Amino acid sequence: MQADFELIERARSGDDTAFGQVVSVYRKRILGTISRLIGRPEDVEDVAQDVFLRLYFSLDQLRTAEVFEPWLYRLTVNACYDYLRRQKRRHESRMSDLSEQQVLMADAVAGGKADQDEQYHRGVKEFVSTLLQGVSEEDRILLVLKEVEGLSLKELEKIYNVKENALKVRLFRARQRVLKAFEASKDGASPLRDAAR
Amino acid sequence: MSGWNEPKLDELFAAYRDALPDRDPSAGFMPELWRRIDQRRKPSLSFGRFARVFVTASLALCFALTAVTWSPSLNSVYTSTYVDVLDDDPNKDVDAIQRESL
Repeated sequence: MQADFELIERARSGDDTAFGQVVSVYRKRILGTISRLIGRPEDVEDVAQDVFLRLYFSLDQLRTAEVFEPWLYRLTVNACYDYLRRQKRRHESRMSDLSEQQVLMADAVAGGKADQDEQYHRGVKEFVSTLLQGVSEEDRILLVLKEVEGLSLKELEKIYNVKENALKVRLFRARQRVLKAFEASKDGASPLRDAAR
Repeated sequence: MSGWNEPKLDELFAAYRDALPDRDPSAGFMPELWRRIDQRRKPSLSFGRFARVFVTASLALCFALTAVTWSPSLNSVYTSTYVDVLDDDPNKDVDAIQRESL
């Protein structure tokens, strides 16, 4: 779903009703993106409100309505980056947590089907979140936008204002680091295999 | 080096996407957003009001000072130089003769 340019223009010129409509169009998608970027469901709404708050006070700086979506993604990336930086200061998760999570997950597989699905999803979330902690906040966000959100390099180029080649290099390095952590976690054991057991 | 795990990692990212689908906001999302907007708007509004009052007062002071400095009554005092005034004095020669005779 996409807001039309006229609605964005109205919001840009200070129309609060139009701004509310823009938020309604994008909030579901932004909440999903944030939840995948930060991996903590309890803080997703707070970060999303921060994104739309930043949008409200910076909308007048938007050059044209055509670049609205990359602009919104940039605000989302910045808000998630700030959040992750704050979180990192609060507590550091260690790679050694992986084995514990996997044991918990394997235990949960013995439960009912719904419970099993829930446990499986939780296991995947925790496993990927822990793997991603092996890279910097910037690389984590970039990697998730590319690999999980499925954004193209062209779209990322617009969001980051960085040349495609520089992005490719950063993505490759980040992916290699995650891959290394993946292999280091019990020789590539993953929740995918555990759940299929 | 890590080729054998590349597809597994892609699969894991896809599973992560499925585990965290797009979600609907809670009922309090919009009211809370507007509350935060209003909260941030208030200080900027009061600052803006203060700035406007300050600029208006400064302009008024500037006009007042300009009016005082360019007052026609003050300007009329200095229409000629000190030497011109001495030259125009009709008693200057008498004074000089009197001083010489003393």
